[in-house]
Amino acid sequence: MPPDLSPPSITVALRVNGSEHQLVLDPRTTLLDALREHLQLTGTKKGCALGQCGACTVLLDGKRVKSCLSLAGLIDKRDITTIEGLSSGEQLHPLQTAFVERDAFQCGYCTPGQIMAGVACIAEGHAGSAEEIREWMSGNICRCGAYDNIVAAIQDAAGAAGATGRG
Amino acid sequence: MHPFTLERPRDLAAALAFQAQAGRTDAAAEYIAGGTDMVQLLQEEVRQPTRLVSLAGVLDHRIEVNDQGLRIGAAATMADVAAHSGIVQQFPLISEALLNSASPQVRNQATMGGNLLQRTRCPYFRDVGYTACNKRVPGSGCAALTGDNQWHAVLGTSDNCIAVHPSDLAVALVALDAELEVRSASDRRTLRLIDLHRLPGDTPHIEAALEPGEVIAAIQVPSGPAARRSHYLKVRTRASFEFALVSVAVALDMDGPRVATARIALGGVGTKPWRTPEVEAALKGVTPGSPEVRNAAALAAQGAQGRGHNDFKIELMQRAIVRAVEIAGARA
Amino acid sequence: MSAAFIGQPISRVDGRSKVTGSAAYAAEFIVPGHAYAAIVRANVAKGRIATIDSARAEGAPGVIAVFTYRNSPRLAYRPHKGAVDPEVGERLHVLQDDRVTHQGQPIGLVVAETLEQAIDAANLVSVTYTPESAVVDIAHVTPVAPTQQKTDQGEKRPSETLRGNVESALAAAEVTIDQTYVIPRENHNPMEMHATIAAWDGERLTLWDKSQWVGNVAEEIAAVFGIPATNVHVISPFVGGAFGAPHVAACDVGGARCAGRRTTRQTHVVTSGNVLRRGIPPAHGPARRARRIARGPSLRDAA
Repeated sequence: MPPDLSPPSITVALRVNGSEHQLVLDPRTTLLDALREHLQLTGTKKGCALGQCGACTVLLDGKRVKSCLSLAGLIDKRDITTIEGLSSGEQLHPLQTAFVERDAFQCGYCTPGQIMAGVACIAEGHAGSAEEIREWMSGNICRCGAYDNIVAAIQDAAGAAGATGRG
Repeated sequence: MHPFTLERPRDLAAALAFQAQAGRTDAAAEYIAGGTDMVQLLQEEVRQPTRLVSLAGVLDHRIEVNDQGLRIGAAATMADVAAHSGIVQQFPLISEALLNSASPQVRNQATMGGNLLQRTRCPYFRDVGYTACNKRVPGSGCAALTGDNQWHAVLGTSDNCIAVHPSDLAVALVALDAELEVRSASDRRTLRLIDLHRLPGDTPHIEAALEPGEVIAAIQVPSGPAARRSHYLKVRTRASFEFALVSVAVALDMDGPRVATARIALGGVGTKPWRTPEVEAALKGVTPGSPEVRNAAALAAQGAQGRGHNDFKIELMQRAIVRAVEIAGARA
Repeated sequence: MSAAFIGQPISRVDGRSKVTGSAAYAAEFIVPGHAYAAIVRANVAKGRIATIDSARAEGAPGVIAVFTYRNSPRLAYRPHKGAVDPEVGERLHVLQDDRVTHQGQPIGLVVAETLEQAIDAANLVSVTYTPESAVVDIAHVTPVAPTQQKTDQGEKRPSETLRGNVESALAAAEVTIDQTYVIPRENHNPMEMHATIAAWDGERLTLWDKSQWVGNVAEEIAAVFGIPATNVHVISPFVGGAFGAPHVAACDVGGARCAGRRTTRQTHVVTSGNVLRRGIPPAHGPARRARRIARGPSLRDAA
């Protein structure tokens, strides 16, 4: 194929926060850009576009992944949960509440990614101690330096979720 | 990213029919599995395949552990393998190496096969603004030779390329004598993992011993007493989520307090995962923690060549071997 | 301030919007029908553009326009200095001539229908340079001494302030230490990458911009374009970290405005992470400080 011609678009069925969307996309579209530019779900953030900062973290079939490193065309028919899907109406998820109560953010740009990663960290059973949380949250960085409060918020929510780690 | 056609085949036969080739930086058709390295390479325009063949759903992802050993489907994720109870108990070296790699999110997406075939982190390779990179553009030179080369290799280099292979998993598997099941449309062959990655020599753009239309289907590791008494030591400048300056995979089969058989492989220092048969031979009969270990470790430096900013690795890797042997030896 | 709040753990007013992802940052405003723009950046540290060929980029799918110094409008660039700008130095004139003063300097702007098309087409612009030798070591720079500094009231005052008598205190000191310290260069690296969306409506411009200081951006933009500052409306309700970076009306803003005006499309300029480390001025350059410390009873006489 001559390099400068348009590649064939692809049809993708993205299931996001329980709703299915049919999109016709450039194959180069990352999941992150599909969410932000095509579905106007801008809660998931672009901090580096290279998988190094974690601001783009979403849940894929319940597991945390970096949406900037996923091609949307390869996420057909899988369940995606973004920050917008975490709360139910006015009711915040316990980890969101914990972030507010522990002031676990300043500028807020890393926050959705931290929360999505934190939800998964708790569900995986990796929130047993501050040290364990720091290691298992190493995929998310915070330039404002809210790490201590982020760890505290995750501990709060993990404790409330109980020893089984459900949260 | 440069435009590409994204193929989403329904089964392995259909995927192989595209004749994609892994391990060549000039391939027109490449595979994509988890995508955690490939998407970066595409974003930075380091790789510009015209066709991308997805392996999602067409490769085996099962993890099987029994008395003979271990078989891991190439599509198994780093996270699933690291957490598998059979691997944690019988092949802890593999789990350790994986948990020392990347971040939790990346480990959920990245696959075994993709990890073994990931490209070097050399900044001159990864940034197309640098015109001299023989791996990216054959014949253009190597900027790292006279540039900032503290991350680069001291073993297995040539004057055409000194880039380090970045995979921790590969180092652990090489120490454990892993073999690969390689499949093509017409054939199935076994390839020792140590023979997968090629030295740069005169052709740094050819990285793996895979033909067009071949794919890594599974990884096999034989069982043995050494597999259990092991340690993966990773020396790096950050506590987490960073590649190795130097790493050591050690697996020991002990005879009382002394080493009967040692398996040692190095990461961060070689253009491919570096097995050290001379060190292993010299460790026979040696007690971990004794001064003889350092004499044995010194043999790893034979043929090592510093390039100015990475000379420290030659001393560091010897010390890392000593430390790793001591830790592995102390394990029950 | 009411005593009811002081000392109390009050939640941030924007707490809920930040933890739910509803707080909107610069790149996230929905401006229907906007195009995307990607920046072409210089790959030499200093020199001149010898040739710049945008034919391949112009022919790429979805590309609306490609701007270089060759076809960009000549902008007014009326004098402007924000209150924190140094007295010495001049701001970068974007796409106005063939000069390259730093690695990563914007030298082109590609406007396209989609993000992927704009970013890829930017890599299709081929550039050759006549490089010049660049000074990259502060030891080789002849410092330009700041002369005057205006106070808020417009009065001039010396740029140095002195208190006490340093020289005599040092001369009488029992021990003095005279040392030079060099601070490494720091980059801001905030989490939010720079972005701007620009929409022209006749002579009026709306910018959704990442900025800590919208007033300065509006004034600077007005000066660049030679339009009244009241014609420029800058919107930036949330900033994803700045650490001084968006004080500067960055080149992406200049680019967006150029592009928006020429193409009659609202334009959204994005900056990639790699680029952020090269194109945006650093928070703290390498600095050399000499500190002389006196020990002994003379200490209280020193500044």
